[in-house]
Amino acid sequence: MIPGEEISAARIQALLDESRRSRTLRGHMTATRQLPHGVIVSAERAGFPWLHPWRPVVVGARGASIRPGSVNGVEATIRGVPLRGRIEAGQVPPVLQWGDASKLKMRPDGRGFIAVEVACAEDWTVLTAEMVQVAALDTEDGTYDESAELEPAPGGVRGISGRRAREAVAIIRLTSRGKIEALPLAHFDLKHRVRLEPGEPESKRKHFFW
Amino acid sequence: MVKAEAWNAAEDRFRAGRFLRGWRARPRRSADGQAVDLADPPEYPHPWQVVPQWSATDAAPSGQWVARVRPGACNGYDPGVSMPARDREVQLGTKPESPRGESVDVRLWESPSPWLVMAWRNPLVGGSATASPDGEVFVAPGEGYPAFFGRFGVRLPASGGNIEDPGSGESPEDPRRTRELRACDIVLSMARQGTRESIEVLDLADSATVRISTVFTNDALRARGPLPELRAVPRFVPAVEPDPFDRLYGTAVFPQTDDIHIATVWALSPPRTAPSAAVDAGWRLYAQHHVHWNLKYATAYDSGLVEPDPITLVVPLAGGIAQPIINAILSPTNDSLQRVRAYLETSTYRGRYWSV
Repeated sequence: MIPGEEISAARIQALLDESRRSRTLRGHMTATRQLPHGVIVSAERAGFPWLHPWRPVVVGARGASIRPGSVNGVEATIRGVPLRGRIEAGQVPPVLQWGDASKLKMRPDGRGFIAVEVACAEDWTVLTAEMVQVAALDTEDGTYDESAELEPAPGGVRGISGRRAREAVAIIRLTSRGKIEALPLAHFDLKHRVRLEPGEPESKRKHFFW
Repeated sequence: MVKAEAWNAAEDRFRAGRFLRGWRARPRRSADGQAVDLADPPEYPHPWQVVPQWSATDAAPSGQWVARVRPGACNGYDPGVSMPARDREVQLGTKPESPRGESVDVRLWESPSPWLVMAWRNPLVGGSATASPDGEVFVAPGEGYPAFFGRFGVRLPASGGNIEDPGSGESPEDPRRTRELRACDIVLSMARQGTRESIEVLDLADSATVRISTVFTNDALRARGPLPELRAVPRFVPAVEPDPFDRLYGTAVFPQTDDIHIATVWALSPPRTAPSAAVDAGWRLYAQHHVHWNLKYATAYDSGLVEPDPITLVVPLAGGIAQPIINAILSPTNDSLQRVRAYLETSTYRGRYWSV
């Protein structure tokens, strides 16, 4: 603007338009609130989740998605699909489905596990790691065996047939309002080894995860 | 000509574009524009995170410090917390009817979440006194505290030394240090099998024989069960495992629990607080965490370092009918074998914790 030049309505309008274009919009992980005297910019309250391996997120009442995790470097899968999905094949990250809340495998105390089930080769190296929902880690079908007494909670997990063993990565429970809640147990990729005692039957071998 | 309304509208529009300070965000203005700095992201609420809270309880209706602990697990199980039964009844919205002094075990993940009553120690006072062979008495210095609290002007811990020396066992005077500090430890405990050796002298005609036998103890395991237990204690004292000489002399006693120090809660007083003051609502509490992740635990037995290996003899004698008799005959032998193993330290059930 040149000194002495009149400010026309059109110029004011152009300025207002420019101001509109400069409006503050909500961006990633931020929240905005427009007030007459300014814009409050805040970090999103529920934001900054730590997306650690095995982090479970309950999807409705029918399943949970799990952040990618690995056992001895073997990436965990759901029905053979890696937890991160297969982008090249157009497969999105899979969801561990259990049907509905009544189909959840739970212990009598109202809790169950999301577990990673490893299958080992003859030399006990990990071949596959598949996510499962179980009530017990050491029963063949993952259901709670009511006849079994609660053992002293072992640090090692007893294996099951087929050189398999399960490790809990999250606990799921039903809240008093009937909502399914998942609490992470493991926060990092896992390592695995088997206790090898001479003469010990395969089914008695203890598997250790850390 | 610009109308006043248009001008005012423009002013309002520009004013409305100013950034204002929000939650965890700080605006910065300069001649070139305005920027927003987001504060560090909030910390991840890790397992075992301790949240102190001033709360009215049955024992202290005017309030006392209690600790809530965020969900954590050991071997996939949340620990039990012992809390006053009447307080639990109030938490659950029922009329407190349990006798005073009675406690109930509540699992950590139950809702509403249980709490631990803090039990305080004073890390500033001198330790115990010991006498030397020549009759001098020495007092241990105060435990002390993290350097972090020194900046707030916490009184210095008591100095140690010969009790007859001036100032020994007392806090050095410093007029700038007038705050008090108290501490409470939060401990996770797993019950396990313990062992106790006993020595017996057998007088056999012309020579004496010493027999060291081992008693397996599982009182804690039977009383508390296999689930972990979380408790608040004034001071965490790690269990002392017997040394080789104890085992050699046949006096070794292995503890029945494996404990791990989860956190220390520090209570910082306001300035100019008396050394004998009790912790009240005016104190500030800080949690110092020693464990941040869920835990796994295994005893030596479980991890394969020790595996009972009873002697068995399986023969098709009398079509298998005689097997129970054979087992009964072998039973004392197996007991002896286990005792020998214990003596040779192969039956140390000491457990280890690790994180996942």
